[in-house]
Amino acid sequence: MAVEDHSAPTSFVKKYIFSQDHKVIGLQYILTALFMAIVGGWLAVMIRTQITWPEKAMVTPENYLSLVTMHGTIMVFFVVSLALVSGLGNFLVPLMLGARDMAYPFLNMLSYWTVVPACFLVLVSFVVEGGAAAAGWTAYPPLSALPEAVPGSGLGQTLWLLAMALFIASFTMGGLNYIATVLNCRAKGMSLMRMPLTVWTYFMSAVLGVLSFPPLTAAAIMLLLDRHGGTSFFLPSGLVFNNEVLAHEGGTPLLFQHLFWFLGHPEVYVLVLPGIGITFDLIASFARRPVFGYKTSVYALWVVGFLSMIVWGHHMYVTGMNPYVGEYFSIATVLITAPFAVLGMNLVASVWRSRIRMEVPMYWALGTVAVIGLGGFGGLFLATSISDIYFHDSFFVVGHFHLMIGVVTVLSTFGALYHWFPKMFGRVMNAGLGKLHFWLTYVPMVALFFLMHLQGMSGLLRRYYDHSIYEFQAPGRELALVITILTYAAFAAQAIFFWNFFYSMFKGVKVGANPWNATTLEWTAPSPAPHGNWPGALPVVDRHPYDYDPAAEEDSDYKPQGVVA
Amino acid sequence: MGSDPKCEGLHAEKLLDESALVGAGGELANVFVYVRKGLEGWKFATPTEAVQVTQEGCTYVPHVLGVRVGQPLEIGNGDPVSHNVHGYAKKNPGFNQTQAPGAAVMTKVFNRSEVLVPLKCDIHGWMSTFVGVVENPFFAVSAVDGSFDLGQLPPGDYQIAARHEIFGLQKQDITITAAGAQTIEFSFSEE
Amino acid sequence: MSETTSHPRSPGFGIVFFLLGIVVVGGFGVGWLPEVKSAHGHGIDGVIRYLLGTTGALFFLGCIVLGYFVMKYGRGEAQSGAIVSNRTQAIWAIVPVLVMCAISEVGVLVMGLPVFAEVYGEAPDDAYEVEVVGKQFEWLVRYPGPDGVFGEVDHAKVHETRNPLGLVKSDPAAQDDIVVRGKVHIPVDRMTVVRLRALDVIHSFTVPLFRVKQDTLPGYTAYTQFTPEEVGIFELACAELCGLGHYRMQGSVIVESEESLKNWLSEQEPWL
Ligand code: HEM
Repeated sequence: MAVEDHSAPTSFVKKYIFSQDHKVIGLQYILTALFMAIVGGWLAVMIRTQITWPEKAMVTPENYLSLVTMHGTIMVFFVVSLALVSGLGNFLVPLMLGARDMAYPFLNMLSYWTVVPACFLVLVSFVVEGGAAAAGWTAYPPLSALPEAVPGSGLGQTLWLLAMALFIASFTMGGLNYIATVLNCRAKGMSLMRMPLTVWTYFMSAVLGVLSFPPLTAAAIMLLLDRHGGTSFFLPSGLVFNNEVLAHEGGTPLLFQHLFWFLGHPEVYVLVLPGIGITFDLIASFARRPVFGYKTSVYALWVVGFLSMIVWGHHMYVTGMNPYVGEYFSIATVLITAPFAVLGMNLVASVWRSRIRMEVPMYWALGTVAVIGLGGFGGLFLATSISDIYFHDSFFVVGHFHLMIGVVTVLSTFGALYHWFPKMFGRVMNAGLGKLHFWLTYVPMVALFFLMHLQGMSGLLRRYYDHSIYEFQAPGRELALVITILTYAAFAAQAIFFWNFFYSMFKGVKVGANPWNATTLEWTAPSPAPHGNWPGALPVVDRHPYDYDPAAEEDSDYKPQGVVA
Repeated sequence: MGSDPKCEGLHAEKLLDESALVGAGGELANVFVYVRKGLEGWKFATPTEAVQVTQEGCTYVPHVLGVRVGQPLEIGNGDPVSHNVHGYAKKNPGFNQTQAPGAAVMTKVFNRSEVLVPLKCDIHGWMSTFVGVVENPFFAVSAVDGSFDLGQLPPGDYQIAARHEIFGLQKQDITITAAGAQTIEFSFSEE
Repeated sequence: MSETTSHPRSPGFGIVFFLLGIVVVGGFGVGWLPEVKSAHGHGIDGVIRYLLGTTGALFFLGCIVLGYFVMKYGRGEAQSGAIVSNRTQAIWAIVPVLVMCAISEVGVLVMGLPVFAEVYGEAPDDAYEVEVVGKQFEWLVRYPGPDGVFGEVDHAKVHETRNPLGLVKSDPAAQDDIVVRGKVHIPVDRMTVVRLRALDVIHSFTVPLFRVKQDTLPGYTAYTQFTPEEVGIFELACAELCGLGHYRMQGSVIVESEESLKNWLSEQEPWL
């Protein structure tokens, strides 16, 4: 199926607001996510400030829980999902496949405009009576179901659920679009096994998203009904508040946890896999050699995808679920480290016998590889049900999941933005500032989340407003100040990025179609890529995506994956 | 009583459980008595002066009180610990807010009559107070000797109600004549 | 030479990975685990140490290799032999698969299963039983009294101060039940089985020094068992977000000799 040739829009509104062009939509997602990132980052600063100086009581306990909940929600769903998965994915997938646009441009526009009200609801919920949702980003009932359980479970939680429903609708439209585009809109000669790994990871991510989000939709609707319709899906009998038994009966809170993690776990891979794919592509571009183990990486992705759908229970080892079931989940979960190790090995081996050009994106890509290792190994401690008894809900978990869904994703997003900026705007970002931004982001982020692992080892528990009344948490608290200072540093450093991004958009050095001498198809299109991506005919693919030769002359060491007739 | 060591330091003796204070002769304190029916035609100006309740020594003072519809209720924290003021209202909007030591007084206004609205601290489960929100000025809280005084009602037919946090609601009809004082008695028992 | 300088080079970047490897391994090596005070806890710590050792070594190795590659290939010299056969690539996929499967399943099965049996296995008949009930925001502890049987409860009868667990008067077994707030008295060197319930939302019973953590779900009765090895007072906390007072849902586990436990119990009045 060829994408219908929709002609270039002329009015401002059609071009930049209700655009159906995948590149404009991608940028809209990215800009929205950058804005939400400032909010989410600021919440992280407030969280750290409160737990470092609890005696100052900067916020009340209920507001603290709203901060934590909304930070997690915003970062996962409205920053990383939007910037990395929806934003960069939209921009890259058609270009890398040699397509004129996504398979369904209108659906694409619709999916962006569905997520905008979701962002709005999330932000508005901070100022409603009772404050924003406060039951954690996991929203476990009964806490999230009953307004009497925590103030945020009033209107704030309702808005949270509505925002999630909109987000899921949007993300599902986006995912279907990726799948359809990958399956139907590839350039001539672009067989599946010739797709760049970035596209492969977006494809896997979309498949996982489309398969795993429906249960969360169901859970959100059931929770809304429990809250407002008097049902009891998640509420057992005998709940006592203020000396009175609630009328609910017959439900179980465990059901929600199963539904949530059936999504929640694959969701982690939905976020991380594109980061890994991008890292592969950046490394290939700057190591000037073919990716090591392209095929084994693709197979590993499939195995990761499959396993990720059957291991959700590892988030529930200590919930009271039958421990033998937990043991099954443990045995299956730790197996994920195997395909992950293949991906990690291949990333490292892709630097072997290479000729590295240390351009800015390469800093981010190499940095990401180490974090994938650190985060991946950390996961083993939580996947093993026995050690998880100790680590569950401690700062070890906080450190671990931040490394994977926070650091890997953020680093690769930055790397990608530096890398593909020329394709977006026909200019490059300033390299000096890019490196400064890298150091001031990488060092504090990796250090602070690593230190959180140590806090968790020492027993520090998460989602605590104040750890100071416990003796056993004292050793962990000693690291709090350092972590907070690193947080401030990492947050402040983003100003460099924002300046560089917006300044370079208008004033950056102009470059040609292929400033990095890279092989994949997007570099055969002009920079910035016009509406329809290629002004004339589409490129025709005649080789695999990473045809670099580090033994050749420096400037003719690559062959583009396709040629434009 | 509680499990907060900071609270335990605040009073020499063990805190009294105020939920059912019964005298030697069975006199029941802390019953909220009010005129439930009979004043529908009357209009009473809403007092603007606030009713006060404070949290002191990890207990609410007073334990039962009345406030008029529309009249402000001021809730203060005189303790060196945080409390959360959790209003379990049913006809009025509920609320739940932490009040740190030294935090500003919290002002709440109830716009519908509701007897009784429990205010609780979930952090210190034993702390509660009960607010009777009524539309007229004729209400009282029974004293330790079980007595109460509703004030001077105009002659007419009334329904008087008495509600206790544990023992529930009782109603009685009476007729007030111009002739003078009238006595009414309620007796509660544990089912 | 002009070729190699026309692009930015920075082989020194490899040092980042050496440093990372050293800092991470050194940081964990400091030994942050607090000393364990329960029998099965040694097994849990054993699994943790095993994982620290194996994954630490692999991570360190990975850092060294990556750092070395960056330093060696970062200088910009032409390299031959970068393209290798499918077979070689497949072999280098099978190696990490085998290594990781072995390491991880040894952790779960070989090291983990014996501990699993201790944590979830059948408790001996003479195990000491106590009930801990989570509610916003405290732990209510119930001892079965002389009859050794927990009496019936009815949540409709729950009242914060008058009957916090909702003990049913008409049940003789409930008559002698003892209810205490926040204090779990248990014997040393004998297995304790804790019956866990919740009244309102999900809580999680955790005693970090015992390496014990078990969620308490409303509507369910869960059990957790452990054998304390030392007399003393150990902190009990909540490990599942339960509302605005989550952080102060503090309790204590008082481990004492059989003798003094018996004395303490005999001094307690039944609740009803
Ligand atoms: C420098 C950046 C960041 C810092 C310093 C930071 C810090 C924190 C802190 C202190 C918490 C609360 C831990 C607790 O007590 O439970 C937290 C929670 C969380 N963060 Fe971040 N964070 C950052 C970036 C991110 C990013 C990029 C993500 C993206 C996925 C993210 C996702 C989450 C999630 C999901 C939670 C859990 C919320 C919950 O417990 O419900 N964070 N973060």
